[in-house]
This record gives sequence, structure tokens and C-alpha cells, in this order.
Amino acid sequence: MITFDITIERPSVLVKAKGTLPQGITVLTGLSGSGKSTFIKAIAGLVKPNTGTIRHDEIVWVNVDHKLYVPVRERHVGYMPQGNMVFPHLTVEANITYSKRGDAASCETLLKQLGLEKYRHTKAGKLSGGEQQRVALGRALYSKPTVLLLDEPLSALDWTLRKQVRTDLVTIIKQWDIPCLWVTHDEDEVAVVGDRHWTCTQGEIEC
Amino acid sequence: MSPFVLSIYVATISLVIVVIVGLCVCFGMKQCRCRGVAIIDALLTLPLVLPPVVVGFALLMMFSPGYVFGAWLESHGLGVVFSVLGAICASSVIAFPLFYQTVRSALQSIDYNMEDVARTLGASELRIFLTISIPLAWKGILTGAILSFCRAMGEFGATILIAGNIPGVTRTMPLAIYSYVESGQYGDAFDLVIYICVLTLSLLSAIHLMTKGALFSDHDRA
Repeated sequence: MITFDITIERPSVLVKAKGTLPQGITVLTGLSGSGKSTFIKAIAGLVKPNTGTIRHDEIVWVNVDHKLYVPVRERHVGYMPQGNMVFPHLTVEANITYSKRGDAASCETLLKQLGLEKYRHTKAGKLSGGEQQRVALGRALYSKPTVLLLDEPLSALDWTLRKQVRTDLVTIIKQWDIPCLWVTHDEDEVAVVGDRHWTCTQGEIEC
Repeated sequence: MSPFVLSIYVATISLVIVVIVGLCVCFGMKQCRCRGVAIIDALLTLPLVLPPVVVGFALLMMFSPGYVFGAWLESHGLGVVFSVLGAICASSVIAFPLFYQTVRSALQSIDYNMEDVARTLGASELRIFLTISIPLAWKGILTGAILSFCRAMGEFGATILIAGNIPGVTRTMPLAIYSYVESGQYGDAFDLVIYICVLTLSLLSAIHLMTKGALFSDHDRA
């Protein structure tokens, strides 16, 4: 479980968050610019909080008072940023196995679950938007992360494709049973995707 | 060596030096969080805007056997002044900023989210640079390499100061053109002018062809 009590100062917003991320999928909604992405990046280790602590179970990731900061590459988080963020020049298999923490069996399982077996040797940049999202999810899951952080995972897809990809992502995330924070500004996704709902209003995250 | 062959030789060696040093410098600059990064950047770009003669003079002072560094090199059998090594040094220094600036811009245009994802996957900064940044910036790297090769081919001012104009040893095409014009051999000078124009024009066209026109397409302009 990820426990946090942090503030992050940004030029446009002051993000305040206190809570615990449990098992299952938690949906975080809020308007654009309200600080959702900043918060998710702080959990991932890509943004440094100004005050507070972040813990994963008994391990302290951040303690600003003690100047303790576990770097991003040691946190073992699965992160999907906005847009189609596959590595376009690498094959689907090379994308999924980019992390050195996974094993061959995980790769095979993911390729099967994600329906990407036939694209194994295809360059990821040549796939459709929905397929690229699956590759990005597979890449995040391959290393069996401590937490899955999805920043508007469907934002790059058109409306017709969103519904199908959303269903696929939710099914696979639930199969892997990893705590997941799903950030979106689409209120419709709350009921379909999440086990619980958090909101972000002008930087204030209510858990 | 004929001026044409010597120019190709000098430009090729310079290109190898510029690409290796340039990529290392770009990686270093990408990691650099120090306050003096703007000054370092300006220093690396300086040879692009300074008159080549000034660069040549600085190199002459640096490598002259009359000074400490040059004397030390000379004692180890690496005489730079009035040698082909001097021509390579001059071409490399003059061509370097073109490669550096082009590659730096290409690297900056990569979506930083791509590198962030790689970080969360546990990749080191060097692995990210080699497996994500360089492949995604290949068009910029290729363009920078060709531009710097062409610049090295045409280098005159710095070369004549540090390497001199010794026929068969340091007389590259631009120096040969200068010598032919000075001695009234306009026909020979014209031949070399044609050679250098055709070669550099072909290389510059190759940038467009090898990157499939993406650099100048409407999509990129938008």
C-alpha cells in the first residue's frame, strides 16, 4: 500500500494530498490543470514534493524533513503518461521487456492477455492507438510493479475506441491485482473503471 | 595526396571525432544541472560565430611547440602544427558546433514523457540516451553529421593558420583553390570549385532523401 501526506508547489497550483492507495483501481478525477498529473508524478518519483512523506508499506520513499528521496528507478512503479507513449522504434516485445526486472514467462503471458502475440516483432509505432495503449500497459505490468499509475490512459484515443480499450485495460489490471491509480478528467470513466473515486479540486486531493 | 583526396580524408576523420565527442557532450549537457550550463553551451557554440582565423590562432597558440602543451605533444611524436593532424584539429573544432547544435535541438524535441517512462522502468540515464534518445533523434544526428562534414570540407581560415599550405601534405581543396587563384591558374581553381560544389550539394540533398523529406514536410512545419 502507498501512504502519502505531501504538498507540491507548482507555479499554477499547490497540490495537497493525504491518504492511502489500497488494492484495486482508484479513479482520480479533476479539471485540467488541477494538479492530478503532478500528484501521480510525485508518487512515481518524477516530481519532488516540497513537504511530507510517501511510503510503500514499511519502506519510506520520500521524507522531505529527513531529506530522504528514493529515486524513480528504485521505486518499481508502472507508469503510463498521457498520449501514446510507446517507444515507436522498438518492437512490441522490446517495448514490453524494456525493464530488466521481468522474466520471459511474464512477457509471454502479457502478449497473450493483451492480444499482441501476432505483433511481437512489429515496431510499436506502426500499431493503432488502441494497440499502442495495450503495449504501454504491458510494458508497465511486465516488471510486476508495486503500483500502477495511469495518467489519462485513454486521452489519445477517439471516442469509439475508448470504450473497448477501457474494458480491456480494466480486465487485465484486475487480473494482475496491483494497486492502480487511474487519473482522468472524464467523469463517465468513474463508474465503469474504479473501485473507488478520489477528486482533485484546485490541487486539493480528497481521498 | 591530391587536394581532393586530402579534403575527403580530413573531413572524414573530423566527422568521426565530431560525432563521438558531440554525442558524449550532448549526453553530458543533458545531465548537467549546474548553473554554468549556459556558459558551457556558449563556449561549445563559439567556433560557429568566431572568424575561423581566430579559432586557428587559438589552436596555433595551444599546439605550438613553443608552449607547454604543444611542446609536450611534440616530445611524444604528435606534432600538430604544419601537419595533417593540424588540419584535422582545425576542421573538427570548426565543424563541431554545427553537429552539437543540430543534435541538441533534435534531443530537446523528444517528448520528455518517453524518457520518464524509461526511468520508471529502471533504466539508467546512459541506457535511456542510447536506446531511446539517440534512435528517436536519428534525423537530427544524420543532419548534423552531414552539415559538419560539409563544413569540414570547406574549412580554410583555421586550417591555413595551424596546418599551413604545404602541397601534398596539408593543402586541402579550399587551400588549393586559394593557391591556384593567387598564381593565376583559374582553370584548375574552377575544377576544384566544381568538385566541392557538386560534393557538398549531393550531401545536402542526401539529408532530404535519407530522412524521406520529413525535415521539410508540411507536417513538420505545422
